Amino acid sequence: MSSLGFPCMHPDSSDYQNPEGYSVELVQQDDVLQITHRLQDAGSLPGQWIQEGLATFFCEVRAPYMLYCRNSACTQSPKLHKEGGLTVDQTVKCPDAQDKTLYFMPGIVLQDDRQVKLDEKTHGVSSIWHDRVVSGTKGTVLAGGNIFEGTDTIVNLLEFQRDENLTGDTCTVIRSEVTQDEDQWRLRVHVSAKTLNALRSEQFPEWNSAFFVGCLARMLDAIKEEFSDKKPTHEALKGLGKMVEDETSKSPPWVDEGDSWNDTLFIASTLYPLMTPQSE
Amino acid sequence: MQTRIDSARQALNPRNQAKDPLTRLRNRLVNPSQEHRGGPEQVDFLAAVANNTFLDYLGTQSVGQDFAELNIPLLANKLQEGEFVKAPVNTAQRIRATFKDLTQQEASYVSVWNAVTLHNIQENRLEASYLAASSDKESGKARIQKALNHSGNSQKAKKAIDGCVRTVFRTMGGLVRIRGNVSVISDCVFSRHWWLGHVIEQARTELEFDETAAWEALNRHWSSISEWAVRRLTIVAAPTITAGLIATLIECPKTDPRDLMQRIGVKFSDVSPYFWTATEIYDWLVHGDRP
Repeated sequence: MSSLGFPCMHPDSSDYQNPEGYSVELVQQDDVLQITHRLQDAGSLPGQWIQEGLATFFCEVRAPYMLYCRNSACTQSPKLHKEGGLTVDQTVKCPDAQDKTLYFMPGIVLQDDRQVKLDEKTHGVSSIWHDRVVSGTKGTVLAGGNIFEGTDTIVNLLEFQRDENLTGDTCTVIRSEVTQDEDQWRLRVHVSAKTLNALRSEQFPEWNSAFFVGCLARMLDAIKEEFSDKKPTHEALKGLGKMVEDETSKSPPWVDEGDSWNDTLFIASTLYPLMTPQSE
Repeated sequence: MQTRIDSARQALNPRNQAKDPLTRLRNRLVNPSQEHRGGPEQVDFLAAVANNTFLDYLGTQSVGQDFAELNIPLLANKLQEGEFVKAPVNTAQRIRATFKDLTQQEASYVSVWNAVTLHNIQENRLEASYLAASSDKESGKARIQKALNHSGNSQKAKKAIDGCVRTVFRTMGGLVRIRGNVSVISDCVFSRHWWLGHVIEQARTELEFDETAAWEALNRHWSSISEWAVRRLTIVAAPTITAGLIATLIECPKTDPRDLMQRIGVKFSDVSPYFWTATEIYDWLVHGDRP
């Protein structure tokens, strides 16, 4: 027997028999993050310790550009489900980071120093940990450790502005322009009051989505024009680039060379449900 | 609701041009192509900085001058160049106190600090030429004169001119395009003091330590600490960790903060500092792991 580090339930680790046994759902809205923590097996070591009050669900929020790093533990008691899982909702306050990136690290942590002899059957760990005595210092991450990026920043990249000079029906002529300074990049789309109202109402969802996809494609194209010879430094654009890669497995249009209008449209229609453009 | 970030943007870009005029100027002047390095645009810019006609020059570039709506106080008195470049603790604290009302979010925006710095130049709380000084050994004006008087079109002359231009943008608000976000927090003079004060105030809610000693210790190592906290090891910004780090640097002044941060990086790679108090982190940094 030896004393090693501590097993962590994480999709990239083989410490547990079910490495994907812990998952989260995150919904960020303005300065609030709603997290739903899910642990599939309440009988696993993290699950046992949560129920015994030795461990807790938590989330760390970081905004490095403004030296922000805060942790908060979940104060609600988790719900034990018939199927043997634990779930709990947590609300975390976030700083206002309109144009820059927030990072979230949810997980399960140990509340105090602890030593345990691991058992494959009763703790759910893989066989390599069986019979080992391990010590964890308080704060040890028992599950989680994935880093999620906030999407609020990206949402702000497209802005609709009411333009009093534009009149007429919802399909009136629009114009768009890039606005930027050191900290911020936006595509501002000028729309008539009528169009803006139509966008805000849920009355014509198909028309809305087609309009948004068009604007998003224009936005991607504008970024491509602007950053054809240099990399974007704005955090929101870096975040968008990562989102494009994660969601579409394609390079962002401003990285990819050549004629990629089809890709741009594909990316815009894939990202559309993830982005709700803001209006003035 | 209009924030001070919006007010600063509006003040610098009163005509609401798509591309902010100061950003456009910076794009042209910083990192220009080789043939423009040390060229007439950079020379004109530096001449305006040295001759204290900087605001007039910026006016010709459409950069706004009306800072009244900023709603950010001015320094009470004019700073001497030495105080601006290498502020003693009481001056640094005075600067922090003047801008204390800014939020963490506002204090991380280049536009805000550009506007604040230009406003203080406009109201004669500092001279534009201070912005070009890179150490307290040589005034900004002397540094610019030396760069402009370099003979001929040599690489050395071009480099000196280019270096002065960069320093002005860095000191005024930060040069994010080249240095990343840490530039706002570390390179811009007013911002630097704001952040030092902010970090110390946050840390003092976690752990008692001498405030003046903290200013001295943190100021000495701010370049490396801010660099790590923004780019390399963002957990350093957790108030308990910062507090432990500051207390350790006060207690052991010869310690290299990079060694401490490396240890923090290893320890807290799979451990959250949430259940650790600042005192425990300090004890651990000074005495190492408990047996």
